Amino acid sequence: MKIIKILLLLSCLLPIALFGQVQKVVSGVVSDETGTLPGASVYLQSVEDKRAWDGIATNINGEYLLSIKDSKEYEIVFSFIGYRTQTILYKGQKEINVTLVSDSQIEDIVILGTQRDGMGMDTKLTSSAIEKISLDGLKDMAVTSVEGMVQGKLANVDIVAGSGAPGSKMSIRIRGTASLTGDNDPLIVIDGVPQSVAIEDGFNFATANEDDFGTLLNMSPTDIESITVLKDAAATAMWGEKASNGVLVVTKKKGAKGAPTFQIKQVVKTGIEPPRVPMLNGQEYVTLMQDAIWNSVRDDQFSSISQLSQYKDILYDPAYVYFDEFNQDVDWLDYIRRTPLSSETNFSMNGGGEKVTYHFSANYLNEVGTTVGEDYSRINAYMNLGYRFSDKFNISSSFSYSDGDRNGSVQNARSLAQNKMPNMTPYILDEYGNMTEEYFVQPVSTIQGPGNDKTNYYPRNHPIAMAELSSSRYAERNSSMNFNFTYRPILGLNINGTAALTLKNTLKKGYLPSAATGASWDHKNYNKSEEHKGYSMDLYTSLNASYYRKVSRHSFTVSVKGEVSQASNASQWVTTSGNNGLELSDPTVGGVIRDMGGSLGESRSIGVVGSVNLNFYDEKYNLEVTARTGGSSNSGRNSRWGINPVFGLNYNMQNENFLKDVEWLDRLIVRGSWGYTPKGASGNNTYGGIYSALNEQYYDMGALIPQSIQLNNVDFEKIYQTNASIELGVLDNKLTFSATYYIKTTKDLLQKDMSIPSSSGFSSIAWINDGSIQNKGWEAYITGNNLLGSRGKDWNLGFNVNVSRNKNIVLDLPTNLEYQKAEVNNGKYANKIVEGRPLGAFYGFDYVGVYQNHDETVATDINGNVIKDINGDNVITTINGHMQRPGDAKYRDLNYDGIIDQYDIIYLGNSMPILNGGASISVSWKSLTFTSALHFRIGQSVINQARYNTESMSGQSNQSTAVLSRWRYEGDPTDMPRALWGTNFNSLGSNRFVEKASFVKVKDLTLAYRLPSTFVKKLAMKDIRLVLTCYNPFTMTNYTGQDPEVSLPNGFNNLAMDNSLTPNPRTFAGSVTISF
Amino acid sequence: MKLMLKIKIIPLVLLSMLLGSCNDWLDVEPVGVQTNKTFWQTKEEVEGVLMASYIQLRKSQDNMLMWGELRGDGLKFGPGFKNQSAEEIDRSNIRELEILPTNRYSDYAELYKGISYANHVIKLGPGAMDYDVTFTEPLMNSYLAEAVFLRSLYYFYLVRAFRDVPYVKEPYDTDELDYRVAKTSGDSILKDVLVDLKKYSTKCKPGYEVAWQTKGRATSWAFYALIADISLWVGDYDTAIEYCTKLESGSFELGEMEDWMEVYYPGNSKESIFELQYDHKDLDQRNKLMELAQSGDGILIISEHLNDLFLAIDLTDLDVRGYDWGYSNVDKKMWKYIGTKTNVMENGGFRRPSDESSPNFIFYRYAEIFFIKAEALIMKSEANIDQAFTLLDETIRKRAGYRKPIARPSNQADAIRLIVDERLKEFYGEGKSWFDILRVSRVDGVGVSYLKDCLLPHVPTNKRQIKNNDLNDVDSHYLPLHEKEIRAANGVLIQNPFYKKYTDNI
Repeated sequence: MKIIKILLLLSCLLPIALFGQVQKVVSGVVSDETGTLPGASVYLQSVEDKRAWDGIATNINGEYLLSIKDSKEYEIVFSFIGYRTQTILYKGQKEINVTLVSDSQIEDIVILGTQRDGMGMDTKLTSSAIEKISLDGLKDMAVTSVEGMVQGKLANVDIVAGSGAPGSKMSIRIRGTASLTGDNDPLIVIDGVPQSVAIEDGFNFATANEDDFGTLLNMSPTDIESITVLKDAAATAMWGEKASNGVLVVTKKKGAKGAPTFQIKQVVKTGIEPPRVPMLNGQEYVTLMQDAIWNSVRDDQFSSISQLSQYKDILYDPAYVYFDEFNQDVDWLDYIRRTPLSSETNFSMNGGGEKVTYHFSANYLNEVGTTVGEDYSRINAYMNLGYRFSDKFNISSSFSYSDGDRNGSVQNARSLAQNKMPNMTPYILDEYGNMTEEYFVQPVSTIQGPGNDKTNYYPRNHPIAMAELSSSRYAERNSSMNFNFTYRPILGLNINGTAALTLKNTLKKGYLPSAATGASWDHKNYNKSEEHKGYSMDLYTSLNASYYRKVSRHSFTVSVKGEVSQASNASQWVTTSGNNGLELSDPTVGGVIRDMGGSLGESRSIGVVGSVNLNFYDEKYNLEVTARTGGSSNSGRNSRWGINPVFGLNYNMQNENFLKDVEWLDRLIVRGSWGYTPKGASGNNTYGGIYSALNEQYYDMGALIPQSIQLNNVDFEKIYQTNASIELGVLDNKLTFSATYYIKTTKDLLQKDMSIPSSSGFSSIAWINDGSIQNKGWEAYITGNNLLGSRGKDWNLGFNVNVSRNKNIVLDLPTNLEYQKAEVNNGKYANKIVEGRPLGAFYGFDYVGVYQNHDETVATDINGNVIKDINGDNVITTINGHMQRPGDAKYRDLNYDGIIDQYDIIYLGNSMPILNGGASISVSWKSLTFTSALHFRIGQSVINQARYNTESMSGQSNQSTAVLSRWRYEGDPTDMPRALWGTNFNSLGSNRFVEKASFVKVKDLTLAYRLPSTFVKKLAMKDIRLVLTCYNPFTMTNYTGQDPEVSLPNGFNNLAMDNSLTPNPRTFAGSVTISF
Repeated sequence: MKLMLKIKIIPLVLLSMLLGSCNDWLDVEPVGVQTNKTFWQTKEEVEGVLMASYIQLRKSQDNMLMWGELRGDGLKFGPGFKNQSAEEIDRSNIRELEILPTNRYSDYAELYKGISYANHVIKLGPGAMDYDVTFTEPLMNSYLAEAVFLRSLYYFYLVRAFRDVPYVKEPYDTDELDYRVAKTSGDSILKDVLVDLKKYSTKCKPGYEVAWQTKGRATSWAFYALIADISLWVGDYDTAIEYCTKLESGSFELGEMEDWMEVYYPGNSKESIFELQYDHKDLDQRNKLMELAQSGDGILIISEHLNDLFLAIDLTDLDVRGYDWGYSNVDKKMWKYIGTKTNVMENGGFRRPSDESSPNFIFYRYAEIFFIKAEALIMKSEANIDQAFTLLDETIRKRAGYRKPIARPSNQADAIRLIVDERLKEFYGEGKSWFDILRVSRVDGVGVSYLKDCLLPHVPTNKRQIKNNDLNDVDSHYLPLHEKEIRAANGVLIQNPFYKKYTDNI
């Protein structure tokens, strides 16, 4: 007890003792124009390193008192939120009174000219291809994803939306496809932290697909400040082999010094679909089916005549028990379409004082699709705090959380609706023939009865039940923490460190109720449920040091960066059937487990980058050398450490004496760079020879098998990139122009899971190196900023146009002929990679119309003479052994042998555009701003699979009204073949369905109005903006499908196909933004 | 100078140490499996891979059976065969000689997996002795011998079905070995296989402590049977006879007539030399063989030809392998795989219990040794015909129930044809018929015409003329290499010339 008393006493005396050391005191009053300022902060700061010492807040009368130690040189800093900070050198004054000036008169600080890259280099001095876009000017667009915003805005960054369904991922290709591994997505770096894109090993693609993953997708564009694209070898030198497809560097918003600004934004939007393909009505469908069956019965000489009366649902038979049910006229698509109403709410807070800056935002998005059952919701929260200890040392940390949740139906309800027979009722009819609310389950004996069990596709599936009851949900939850410090111990030396932790949980859940499939209770698809859960954790740290020194007219920068990353992931999945409903579809509740499994994986990598940038004669000539070495646990020891060098030259011509006098010229830079990137294989431990237990015994003896071959020979994929560009800036850099030419060659292409002869005992090998491809092209953009305006003028104009061309060529064919498969079947295209042709090229037959009569089906040789067989009879053209008949599709017989086979396949075009790009314009007059954006892709082809589905007339699916012109009698002037039930070859993969899909889209029309500031001030607000915007209003195209914007295929041997997914709707939105 | 050197060396040493430890840190071992680094360290691992090679025999059984029976003369498609699924269409295409390089039965991948596992054991297994002190040399030799036996057996089937195939004796544990391997002629493969077999036959155990293993794993007796069979195939009749004689010193015996069915149920009988093991009841290992025999109305049933052979016997004689005994007279199903007792008529027959759908697939049983010996004797000299048939009369035919000796043929060709007929009666459904026909078609006086007589009745009448011409080409007697193999080997594997026309277009 005593001791405590003594301690207490001592602690009371302590301040007095300290006070005793004080030698000097300074006091005064802080005020502004209107009077004294209570609560303003006043503190001491050392002159040497700007480190803060003692500090105090002014009292109610604006007075302060500071004690000062003698030992140092100090300055006194006066600051208050909303006011400009004042710093006064302390020279022993007893009293300092200051008047602070209000901040609102201060113009935004605009940093011009000195953009800096990831290594701390001024972009004016770098030799690499960099393009930057600020998202601020795009904030009013009615899109929810970052990709959607920057689509068409960046040169040679080809962004394509595959589907208009909410929450769909867009594909991104920077300078084309350069790899056969299917891994062509760019690396995304958020605030200096590369995001892992790896899908965990053993991922079960039966229950999830790649489209579900998107780093950008789950981010709210409102949190992003700017995006920088790195396109060339400098990108890989900076970020390693993962960056070989280019890098998107995302910079998120940070707190800024100033009074706290609160902003609330509310968006409401709706959408309209583009016009759809007209389908047959009930009667037309029935006629078509009868026609098809009759043709097939006649073809096989009436041996299958019973088929004519087999399907009562397409006959006029009032005695049929479902006569009424199958004499309807239903537009199925109408039942599953809707006019959506979506909303987005955004709140943000930004501000900061002398020491601390902060940014906080929260965003909630609820997007409803035009198809029933499709929606997407997203919650984002983001917080950034910066603390400045001194001019030499500061830290910042951020935390972000996102939760994206996408819903859809298990099977595409749209294609089900499109295929469904229009003469059938969707609901059970009551005794008076009126529809009830209960789904009508299609009887098995009907024409659209049970389908092919193997493909898991049932024509009987009910489109409306599928849309309304089935559920396919994908949810992704991301949390990331990011810590960063900057330390500048001496002039010119800058040390920067980052540590980041990202946690991700994914959940994919599907439920397929029997109401939608009609599956009986003992079927494996009866109330089927699938669940896939994934967890991952990524840890990333980096340390970066750069030193800058100027020696007379020359200067240099040396930087070194080291980074370490570690990622681990786990997943598990289970498929059950026989569940009692969506909520009860958990495997623990009941149901039969059909499939289950899990996976675990870990990967690690290390990278070290060094770079030297030498500048001569006032930065006129610049030489840049960067080298990186890195290793990853994904590669074996034999090919783990590769050196990744980049050399670049940069010539700032505007610094030349002879150009000094040209006043209008601000920038004329010529750049050139060359780089080499070794890229290793991806995936966890794919290089190791693995032994595992066999799930089978020989009698009672367990067995072990070698499961994969150890890869000692696999080398890096070698990427060589050459880049040359010119940049021009005139009129105070208000108008800038840039043009770039590049060649990117990939040699020793890595190929995954390559088939090898089975004499090895293995069916495939995980990786081999083989073949080479090249991408070359150019990109150009011109940007105008602040063109008409200057201070005080009413008008302002800004614009951007970018055009790019990428040409992809296969230089060396991979020596494996696995890619040369030709299949002669409806809807099938030859799978080929041909030297001198691009990847993604289409090969198929040349469709030349319809055989009008028997004579035309007779095969002729090259001279037009009829081919005779051994018996002297005319040879009839055959496909797969089937003789062609009048009304059948006619394909060009290139080798004149009377057989349409793989020798008659020709090149039909490819899915790579000749040109792509975009344009945007922004005009403002006083407080009214109009912006518009275009996006175009020209010269690419796609397979119109949707048209194949609706015009092939070979199954029992409903068809489009185009088939009303089908061939029926000799002389019919048509090139639409006849309807034919059963085996036919009337819709082989041919140029009939390959279409040019060039388009120019007006992506955005936006009108924004800022309320007059006098009026706003009266409401005690800072700013109020009203925006009306329309996304995707017009498309100019000759393409016959609903939307020529067709997603790029994932793998290199997949083809670009328009599968009639939900088209991108025209979206209309209105928003209000209030700042205070 | 010294100092300068130090200054230069120290960072280098530090750097290499750093990189070295980084390299270790980057070696992430996968979870739940073993890698090349940690495997081959215990005898259990060696035996585990060896067992995988046996399991591969099961997976190859469908191929082996169909190769032997589809073009053979003993079985035909029953009413259970719908010719609808891709598998069934492939089967009927083989039977009707419409064989394309896309046919699943020209895919030999499963057999090569078995070969690969055996190669792994042979090459890498001995290394485990360095780690596992309980792994003795005799045990290792015994494992090696089993692996050699399995590899030889696989190649014997491959050569009989394809003639020339890639001959691989190395394991692909790393990608340093070229996996694109050209074909080796069937003759030289079998020659080399015989050398290996003779070398290892003495190292194999004559039996195992566990009963099923003595029949289900390779023994020195299985080696002798295989050597005799291959020798007969390559025409080395002295060796065939020599090894048949060696088997007489074993404890094998043909049972009594009444016990004939015990060969199949419960199996592993006194005459069994090597058979592929299944156990349905306890281990849930079913054999598709039973399904083939009984599914629906029987997918494979007794052909008219075989039925006629059985019907041709003297009324005073009896054959337990024939109708109402070995197969059902009513629906011609192979009773040997369905039933438990010979007399099918008694109470509707004794069927295998529902939990025993696991008849073993028999590779060698003692009965075949007599046939091999008899055929070799005849092939050596016409003078041995009587000796050969006396052997069969006293063993095979006696056990089958015949009381009278068979009439002695006058020349070698007739004798050989008679042997093949007798073999068919003994081994129908055991995957041997087509190989017998193919083997003897090379005998003077039997010739390709014999082979045509067997094959052409399976072919639809309108195609018989073409197929008749085709069969003059010996290449057509062998299967094509599967197109995926040709593709994956990128020009190294040459298609059987007869099927060239199908392969050119890829």
